[in-house]
Amino acid sequence: MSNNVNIIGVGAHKCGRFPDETFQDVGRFAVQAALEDADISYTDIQRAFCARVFLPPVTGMKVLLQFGRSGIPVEDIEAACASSGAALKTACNSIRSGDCDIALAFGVEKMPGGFLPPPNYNKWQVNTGLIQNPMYWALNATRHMHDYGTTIEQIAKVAYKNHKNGVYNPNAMYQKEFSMEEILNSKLVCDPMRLFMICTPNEGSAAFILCSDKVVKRFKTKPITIAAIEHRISQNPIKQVAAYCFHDFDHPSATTAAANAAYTAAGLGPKDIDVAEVQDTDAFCEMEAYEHLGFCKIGESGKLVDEGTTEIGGRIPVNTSGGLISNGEPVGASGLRQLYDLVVQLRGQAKQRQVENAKVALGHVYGADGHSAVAILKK
Amino acid sequence: MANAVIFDSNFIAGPIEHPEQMRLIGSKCHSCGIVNFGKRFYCDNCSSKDLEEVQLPAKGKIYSHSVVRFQPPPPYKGPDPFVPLPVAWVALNEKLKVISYIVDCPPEKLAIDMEVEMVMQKGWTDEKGNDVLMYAFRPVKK
Repeated sequence: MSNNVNIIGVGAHKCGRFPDETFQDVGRFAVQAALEDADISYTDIQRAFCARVFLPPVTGMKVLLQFGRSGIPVEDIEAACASSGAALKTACNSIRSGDCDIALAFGVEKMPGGFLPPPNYNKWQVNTGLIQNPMYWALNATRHMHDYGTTIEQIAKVAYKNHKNGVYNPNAMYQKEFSMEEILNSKLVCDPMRLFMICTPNEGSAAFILCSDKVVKRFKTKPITIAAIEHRISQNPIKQVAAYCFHDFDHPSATTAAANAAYTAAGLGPKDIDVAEVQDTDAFCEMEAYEHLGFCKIGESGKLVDEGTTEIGGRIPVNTSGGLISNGEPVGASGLRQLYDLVVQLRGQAKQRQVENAKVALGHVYGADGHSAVAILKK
Repeated sequence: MANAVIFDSNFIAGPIEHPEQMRLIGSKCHSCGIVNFGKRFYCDNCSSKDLEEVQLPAKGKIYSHSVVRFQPPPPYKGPDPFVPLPVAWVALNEKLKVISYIVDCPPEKLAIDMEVEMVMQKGWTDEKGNDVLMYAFRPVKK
């Protein structure tokens, strides 16, 4: 039995805030687009998995019942910012185990604006405000600047790149370029991080139709292969997210652990990646991701930025979709939203954002309590 | 006068009538040797159950710092009106860092490796009108 899982259809709703649409509307849009892209009927789907974080129980079922009661099971899967990765992995496992040949993995989110509502932290953390993500990102940035000489200009360059890439992404929430001056003079959120360097939680959806090798020839779409999808949770040190303490051990970060597992599963390494989407909840997080994914050595992400390596046209373009900085983070859907953009790249349909000869793509998410998922897609 | 209560008995111990004698508490692991912050059932590092409650040092050093420039969302109960809040990872030993606001320190004076000491101060008022005492750190006066 082949373990291959093929992507035969993808769909995505624009990212943003949609007060006139219910989550059912937002979710239906992506699922319908994926079905049309694969050119199959909803009744062909045998298993479904829904990623969501802030939506209520049975969200997946509420979205799918709009397509009719086909009787298939659908489960909601939640793993913070890695929810989409967890849903995708579960769908792949379902196909690999022989449980089904055609599965749907989708993510959907609707959110209030502003900072994320506090989830399950201790009362004292919430009452004192010691739980806000930007504060933790800023603490990491300050220490990185101290240890490695990383500069605020380098961090701003990442924000500049992502805003610029977002201009050409019709699904991005912000399609606006900002100058370095505008970014460096935007409002301070948590020193040294400024408003135009961070992302906003928002709404959106993305859907993937997956199938086994056994049935792939039935479909007209040229498949993209899921070479790997791995999900890990941080060991110590856990300092990228709202933890009240951490211990300085040399365990690999959740990002590195998930990436190493994904590289091993795919039989590939960081040098094989042609294009990537990484978790830029803030511009510094993207730099940290370069280091933890092995795109450069620890401490050298500033150099990578200065050399333009991660710009379109560079050796390994990152966040050609505009990243979370332009798209926002529809938390439950964000990982699949990234992979949607990577499929567009691998199909050669990214127009002004197209990375030439992109054959291998990597998607990375990182979030609450140290959840990380890394996916590798192959043309 | 309002009664004083502590923010969470899993993280602090000592006589509340003498807040200056209160100390953060931890769980020392007899298996791997680390000191966890707060009471725990299992060690965060090695999952051992062989833990002993210990006092954490009252002094530490700033590992990294920032300033929170926005009012955190509800149910935030801190100072009203909001003032920017210096915040830091405070290293209490070679391995353990805890999150804390830094008080009695203007933002521009924050520095990595600055020596700081724990102080108890009012964090918020609870539903019964009690003053809830919360830990913070402040620069050690030279």
